[in-house]
Amino acid sequence: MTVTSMPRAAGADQPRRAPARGAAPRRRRSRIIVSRLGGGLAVLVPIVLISTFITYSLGALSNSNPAATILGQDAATPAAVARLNHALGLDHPLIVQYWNWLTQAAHGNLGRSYFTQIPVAQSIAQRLPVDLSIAVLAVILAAVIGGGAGMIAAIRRGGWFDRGVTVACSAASTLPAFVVGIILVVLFAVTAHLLPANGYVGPSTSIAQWLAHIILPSLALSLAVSADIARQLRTSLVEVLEQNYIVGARVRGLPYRRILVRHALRNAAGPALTILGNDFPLMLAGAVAAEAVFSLPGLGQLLLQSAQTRDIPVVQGLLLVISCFVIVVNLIVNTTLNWLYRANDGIGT
Amino acid sequence: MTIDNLRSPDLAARPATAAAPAVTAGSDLLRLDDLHISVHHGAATAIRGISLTVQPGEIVGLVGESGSGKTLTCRAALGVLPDGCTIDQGSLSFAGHDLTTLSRRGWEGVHGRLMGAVFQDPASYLNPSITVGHQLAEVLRVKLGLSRRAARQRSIELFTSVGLNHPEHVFHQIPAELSGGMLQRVMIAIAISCDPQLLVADEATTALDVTIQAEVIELLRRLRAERGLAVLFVSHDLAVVAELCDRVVVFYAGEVVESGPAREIIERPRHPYTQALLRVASVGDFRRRELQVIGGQPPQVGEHITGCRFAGRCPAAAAVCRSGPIAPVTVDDQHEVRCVRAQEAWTAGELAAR
Repeated sequence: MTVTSMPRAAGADQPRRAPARGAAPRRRRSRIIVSRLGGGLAVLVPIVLISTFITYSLGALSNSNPAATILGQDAATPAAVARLNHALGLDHPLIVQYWNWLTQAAHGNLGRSYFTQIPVAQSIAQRLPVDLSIAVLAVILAAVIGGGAGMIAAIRRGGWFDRGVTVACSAASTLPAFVVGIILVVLFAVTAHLLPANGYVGPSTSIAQWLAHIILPSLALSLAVSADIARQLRTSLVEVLEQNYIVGARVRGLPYRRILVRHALRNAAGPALTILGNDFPLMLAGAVAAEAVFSLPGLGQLLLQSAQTRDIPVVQGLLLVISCFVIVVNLIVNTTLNWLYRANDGIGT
Repeated sequence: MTIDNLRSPDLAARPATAAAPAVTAGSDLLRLDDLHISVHHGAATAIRGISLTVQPGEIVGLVGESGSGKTLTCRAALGVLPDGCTIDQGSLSFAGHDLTTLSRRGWEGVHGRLMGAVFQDPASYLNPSITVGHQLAEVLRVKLGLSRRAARQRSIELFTSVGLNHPEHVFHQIPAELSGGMLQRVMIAIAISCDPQLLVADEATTALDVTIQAEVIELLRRLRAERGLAVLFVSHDLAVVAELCDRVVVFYAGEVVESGPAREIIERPRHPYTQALLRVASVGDFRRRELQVIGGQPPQVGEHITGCRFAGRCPAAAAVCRSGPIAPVTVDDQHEVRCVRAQEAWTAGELAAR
């Protein structure tokens, strides 16, 4: 047996065999997670480049004439259009335009709106907290509602709760967020007068008001995802609960609740977590509709407006921010999965 | 270092919630009495009237072919019957305390502290995504209330005592990184971590290669010698059972057909099925060169048979064998046989000639 020397614990009060700290495998594990995280970040860069280039090209290919639109029909003489195109940098080849935008974006400058002249970064920064609040709360709600329902359904499989969850999941996943939103507004705001029907208050003004304003849109967004999570978790948890290692944990005399959380749920959480990661972009898409229902000053409305008016710098900036969020969320999910499933590290790595 | 060093003083305080029996000398540690178990939600009876006992510090072997009910009996004794299986009749007790109707919480006190278990396929009985060291330390922390640091140190001592090399390294490995023999040692370390009085070893050596098998058997023997651990050892390998066990119980189609001291069973088997098993296993006087088989098939689970359940395959079956239930007969001290011809003194030579 090898006992590595341990200078700190080599005192006289130590038993004859000091535990060897920091054995190789533990260190190796964290290194694997760090390397995966680094790999994920390395993937982020090309994905952002490709997705932004595609949207940039689409903007250019959409045959819009920003200079003419900005100038208006009367002032849009060919000379004026050419002058403005030169001022906006639109007379350069597409790749050069893209490069200019990219270098500016790397410095945090996303350009200005063609129409309002407001810096894109500024209008995004104003609206981002709204969507971020709703999306984060929606993820938490989906995890709690979906996770809880799926877990109880799996434990009491075949019972009335299980069947009820199955029916409720089928119903919930067919309802789009805006329909759910309208139902919630009617129930909680119009009928019961419990919560505000629309608008947004920042958390710096009042935490309670902030929560009151975001809870309904978050709930509307989270319902379909909750249903997906509940179904996935139920299926995988039922499978895990039939595994021998659950019996193994029982004959060690571990409390059932501990087995459920530490052994079963941990190993069954993977598919549900993947769902959560995959549904995050859907939540952002749903946010557009939810913002309309709840009259929230969010990114979705900005995106819709600027796409309609072909305000390319705004669209471009929004897509950059959104794709970064989607990629970061996926990165977090993958890292968590990696941490949960040590078995996937492979043998001898 | 002996395993006795690992006994901590707090182990003397058994949990008050669970049946907390003080084992009195001479009493049965584990006792199954006329146990009937049905499978598939009562559709068929797989275990029909099993009775067996394990004394403190005794190694009892359970033998029989696949499907004879050995594993189901173990699972019943451990209180972890698969879904759809129920104990219909009979009783199960540990050191005089009835376990038949024990609640889930009651079993939590029994498991680990009174009974440990190891299984045929250790890899599947360990959580694949948690390090084996953590799985052992978890038991020590939850069941014995050890601190994180103390649990870690005790885990490494336990790993050392079950013969694992480089225990500090093994501590941080997940089951997929260890061999079958190492995993079985890990399972044994976990099973004995709370100092139980009985170890249920369900086909614990079956999946291991012969040298590792011998080492695990040696380990079980040492555990018995050092801490008085009783073992219910399930195997279909009579050679292993003959080597390790004090007493042997032979299962056939959900019944005990013969039981008695290991030496007696191996040297003077009375039941034709035991004789056939020995012949197949080439143990004792039944050494043969060619591959031996027992002709025919065991009855299906739930099949209704009047009389001896082995009669269909028995070379010596007579009309009386099929006429009615066969009661077990005591032929010698502690040697019980469920056969009408049990009293006929057959020598091994005569049987070999049959």
